[in-house]
Amino acid sequence: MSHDTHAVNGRQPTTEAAETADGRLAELAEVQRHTVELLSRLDRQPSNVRVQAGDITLDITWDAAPAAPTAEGPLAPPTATTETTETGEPAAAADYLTSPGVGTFYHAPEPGAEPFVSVGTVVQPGQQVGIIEAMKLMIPVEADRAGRIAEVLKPNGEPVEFAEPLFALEAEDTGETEET
Amino acid sequence: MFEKVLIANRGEIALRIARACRELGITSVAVYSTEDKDSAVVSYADEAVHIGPGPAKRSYLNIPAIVEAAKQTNAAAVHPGYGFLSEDPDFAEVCEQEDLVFLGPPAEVIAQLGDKCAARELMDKAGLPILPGSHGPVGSAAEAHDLAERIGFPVIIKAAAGGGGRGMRVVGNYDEFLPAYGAVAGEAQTLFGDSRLYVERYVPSARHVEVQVLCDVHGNAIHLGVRDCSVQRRHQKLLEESPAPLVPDEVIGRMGESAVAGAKAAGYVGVGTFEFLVDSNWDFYFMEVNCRIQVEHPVTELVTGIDLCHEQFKVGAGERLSLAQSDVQNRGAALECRINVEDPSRGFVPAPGLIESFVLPGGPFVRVDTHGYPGYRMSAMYDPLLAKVLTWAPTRDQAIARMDRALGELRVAGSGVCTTAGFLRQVLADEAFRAGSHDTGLVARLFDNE
Repeated sequence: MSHDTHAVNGRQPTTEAAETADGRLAELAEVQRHTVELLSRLDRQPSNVRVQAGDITLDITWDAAPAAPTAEGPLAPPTATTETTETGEPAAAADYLTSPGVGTFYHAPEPGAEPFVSVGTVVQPGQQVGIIEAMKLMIPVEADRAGRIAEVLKPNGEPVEFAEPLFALEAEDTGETEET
Repeated sequence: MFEKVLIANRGEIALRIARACRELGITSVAVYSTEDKDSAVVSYADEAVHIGPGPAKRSYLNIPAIVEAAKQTNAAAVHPGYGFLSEDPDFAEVCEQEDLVFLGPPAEVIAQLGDKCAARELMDKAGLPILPGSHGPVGSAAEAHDLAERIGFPVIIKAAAGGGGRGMRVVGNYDEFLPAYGAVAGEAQTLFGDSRLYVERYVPSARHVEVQVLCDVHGNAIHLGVRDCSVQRRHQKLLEESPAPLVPDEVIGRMGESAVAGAKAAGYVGVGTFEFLVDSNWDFYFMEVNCRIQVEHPVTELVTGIDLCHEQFKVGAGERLSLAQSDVQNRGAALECRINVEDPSRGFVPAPGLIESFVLPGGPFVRVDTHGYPGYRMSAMYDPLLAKVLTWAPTRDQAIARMDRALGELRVAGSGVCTTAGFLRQVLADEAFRAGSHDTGLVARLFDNE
């Protein structure tokens, strides 16, 4: 499974109101109202919605993101390429298989060979999914959890940075995580 | 000049190098670990590459990652800063093989000078004064013991692979020698993977004075005066200044000439520092060479008006030195205080954390080099240097008064965050320091008085 995380952050017009219990309830009701309105306008049902009232956080998660948020290119500063949630964690990091180092990304063990995995391949933790070559050192890219390859995000032979998403991963049974 | 340079470092020095790049029209590439993703140089540099996770071994010490980052970004040269890979001959060699200019001396020069025994031998041959001691590493504990007796106690036992204040011990008398020897050998093996040791006479109330040298690839070398780094705690420098107080000009001149002779003998290229120990008779002895830009280099920049980073880029690009020895004129006095996130009241334990309030000193003749900003989280993973505050004035007394004023303006606050600023003001107020008659024992003495 992969997801986009949209965080909606804002404050009550009067901070004093937010500090009282009534204020909090009003804040929560307001966020809920916005959430329902937002959901009704979506063309695709999300797999997970999280609403938090204090300092207002609204996380909406979908299966299989159409595009990775960090695909802007290897040279942009991280502030421009990494969407973060309230807690400062990289958005949706759990749903990508990322690069273990800086180097050139290869899909297959050698030129012309079959790629380690392709869209639809079900992978197990520890299974090799690619290679990063750094100074003629071949670093295996291994899946750190089970799932199904939803998208190959980086072309073969492309330079990548450390922690750059290489594959979008979805849960093997996508229905399992539906919560809304 | 280079079109693009990769900065293989972090913290304040990475930012300082990126600034020099901007001034020279060089595109800068920063590298960063996950821990440093919000660091100042990442947003300041023209480009930035994420090279690995927090631990330095997998990021700032990761040679393949750094070389790959340089290749991906088409950088022509690598500036190693200080620490990390700056004095690693393997890294210098790999850069050479990969057609990247390493902004430092050639790999074999770093290797030779990095071996403190070899450096001592080389400088002895080049005519530099050295302390009585072993010629090359000692063969055995018994041999070292005999030698120590002949030199006369106290002696200092040092690791050949040591440096930066690590892997050494002072021995006061004959009976203490063997246990100390075993301890240093063990430490050297653990820290450097090399248990070779050498022994020299120890000078108790000495000053630490170092000479800045600058050399090009065409065999030209000059010196840019001295820095006194006698304010140290356990061999870690806290405050540096130029010129060295009370040391006669004639002595400083001879030290400079010695350093230039040593640099030429070693085939040195780039900026480097020759460390000397100066005793109360103004006799000086060669200690070691630091093959890198140093933390305290701005002190020299303030008194000479020469930008050492610019010069590093120029000689790295193969240019001839644009300065003759006579062009280097020292003017006035400069001090540098290292603002570390450490708690002096608790034995200088690291005190990093989220810096909530950060107000820097300003006004005339104050320079601050820092990567800090309000909201910056100082990591416990790397060294505790947050800022370097420097002042310049026509005289040393005025520079001290100005530094005290500047440190008074500095505000660093955050939960659990503590700095050395208050302690440094105590040093500035010390009578011996003000008189310029202090030695490397000053900080220990200040603590004994408490």
